[in-house]
Amino acid sequence: MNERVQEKLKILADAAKYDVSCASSGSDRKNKAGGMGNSTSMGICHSYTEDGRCVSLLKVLLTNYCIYDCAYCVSRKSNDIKRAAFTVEEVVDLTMSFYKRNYIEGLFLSSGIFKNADYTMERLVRIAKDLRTLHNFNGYIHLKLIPGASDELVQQAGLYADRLSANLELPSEASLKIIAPEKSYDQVYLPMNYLKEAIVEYRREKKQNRHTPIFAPAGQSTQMVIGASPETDLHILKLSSELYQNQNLKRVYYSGYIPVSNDTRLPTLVAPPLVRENRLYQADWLIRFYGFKYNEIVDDRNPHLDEQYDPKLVYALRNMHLFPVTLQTAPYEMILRVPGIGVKSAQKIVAARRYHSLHLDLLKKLRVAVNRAKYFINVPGNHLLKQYYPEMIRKELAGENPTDHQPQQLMLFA
Amino acid sequence: MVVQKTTAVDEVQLVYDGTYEGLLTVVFECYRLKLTPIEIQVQGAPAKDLFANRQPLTITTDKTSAERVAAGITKYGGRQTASELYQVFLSENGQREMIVYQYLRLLFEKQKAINAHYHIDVVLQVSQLVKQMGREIHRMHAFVRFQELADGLYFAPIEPDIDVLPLAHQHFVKRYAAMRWCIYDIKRNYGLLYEGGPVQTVVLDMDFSGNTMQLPAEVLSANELAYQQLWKDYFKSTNITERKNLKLHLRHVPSRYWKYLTEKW
Ligand code: SF4
Repeated sequence: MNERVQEKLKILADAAKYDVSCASSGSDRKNKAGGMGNSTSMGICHSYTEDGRCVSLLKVLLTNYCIYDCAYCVSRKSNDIKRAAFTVEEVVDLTMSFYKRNYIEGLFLSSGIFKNADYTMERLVRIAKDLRTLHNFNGYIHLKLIPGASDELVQQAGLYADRLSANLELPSEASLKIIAPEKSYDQVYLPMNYLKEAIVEYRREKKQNRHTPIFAPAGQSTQMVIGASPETDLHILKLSSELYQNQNLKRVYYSGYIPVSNDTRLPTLVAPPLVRENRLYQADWLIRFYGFKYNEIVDDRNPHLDEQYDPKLVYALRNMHLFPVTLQTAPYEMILRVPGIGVKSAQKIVAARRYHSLHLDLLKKLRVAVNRAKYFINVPGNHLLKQYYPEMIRKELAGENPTDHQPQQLMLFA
Repeated sequence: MVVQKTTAVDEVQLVYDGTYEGLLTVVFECYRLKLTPIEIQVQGAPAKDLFANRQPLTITTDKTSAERVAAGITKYGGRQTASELYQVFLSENGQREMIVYQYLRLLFEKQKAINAHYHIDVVLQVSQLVKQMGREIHRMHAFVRFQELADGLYFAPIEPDIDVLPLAHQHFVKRYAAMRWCIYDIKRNYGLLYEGGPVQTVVLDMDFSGNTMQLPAEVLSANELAYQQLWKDYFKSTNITERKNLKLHLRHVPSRYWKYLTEKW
């Protein structure tokens, strides 16, 4: 170990930090005798950056040399920055050493493209393979799929990694063509679809033969940059819903565009669109865990998420005819739709009401955000109903922060 | 929830040896002798004024009695209840014995799991304490930082708010099965040492009074400080200044943990 590694780490961690995926969850890889590490389905954040993001994985690029010139990316060919490249052994050693000290859950490895896609992908796979086979490493590995990598390499990546991701980068192919002219949706969807089939196949085989070698147990995810191109939130959420449904993605990450260049292909922003990013995560959360459909949250008349109010509240205000919900008898799905009631509280409500009639005090004890929920529930002790119109509620709740579905980036667990 | 009083029982202050078995024995004796404790205390703990002039009753721990109570807990409440009550016992909450006692009165009265009876105070208390414990255990899983010693042992000093080592260490046994390691609770002055076999309890004579938990270079392996430096560098480079949000950072990593975190040294 020497100063060169230190220098490389600075450069290649710095270049990787804009990749937002930090999740180490969703895998369940047990340790083996004499082995090192495991992955738990919950995942662990070992630290948090000063902007409050979870640090769970050693997130680095293998190299920031790149033959492409994507306008939104710090590593683009035309950018005048310091370049570096790790060797396979260096990444393996850093991962093992950090892991043994309980700094990390594992490795998130991405890379700029040097020479060509397969040449790069092959090295990423080698690192994962060495970790698994030479070092008996059972911690978490997330590999980025290099656009255009061959099926064989994608297949091998699945054998050693827990999660794989092919990034869409931008919410539409038209935008991609302008901002990252060398890339295409095809290059992303091909490996994504290949993987989807391979995972389905693996699960099927696994049922018949439990010795089937483990394959990408934490599935795949993708990422897109938000605010660098003109797509609406409706467009974005529709796309995400399709990715969850058709490609079986585990996660879609939204990354508020941070101006890393003054390339004319990109808008000039004063600050990254963090509120919008936050709202998208909230909406995404509602789709994945609260039973909402994307078109219940945004539609042609309201193609953008509200900046001031969270999407669940906005939904309720637009659909006052569905409220108030009578908590004592309402189905779980409807309780979940009440602003101020999260998944945990909803489950507790359903459990508690079997033994006792609910009232406002009990709801407070179950950590329901009564201040928000009170406009939308029918429960003894709550006398607020009827007199309120959506506009009045908006006014009263202005400036309040929802606590029941914070976006993923701020959460402890995925 | 106040336990029902009947005229036949005696209100007493009870003293036990501070073990979980001891506490379960207390519960057993309360049934056998028809006692209603108003205070259950560990032997030797300072007496509260209220009881200064009363003579507490000392309960001697009895394995068989404790096992019978434990079997009852599992029978009616299932393994989840058993584990939750043990967590309450470890929570260091000032009322933990009475909470366990009252919970068990109720469980044995209903003869089925009462986890969701949130309208009853003691049930809610248990669920909140379990949540608190879960958070602290999770923090230990996250914030333990091993330092490699010259002899290859990985050593981590910690100082959790609650005595969670008995609950948190299994995670490390699974994860670091191929390593020799020791996690040391400097507040309670004991540690768990793992060298492949069963985990052993150790007590060390070491000085941890420094500002950070970084061990002196003489005891560390040749590469340890270099790896610490690499991790600190890495941590620094993960920050995105445009997104800085220290409030959120502090909520996730309260400053009292900083001296254990390599990246904060
Ligand atoms: S291919 Fe990847 S690394 Fe290269 S410029 Fe585009 S986004 Fe950046």
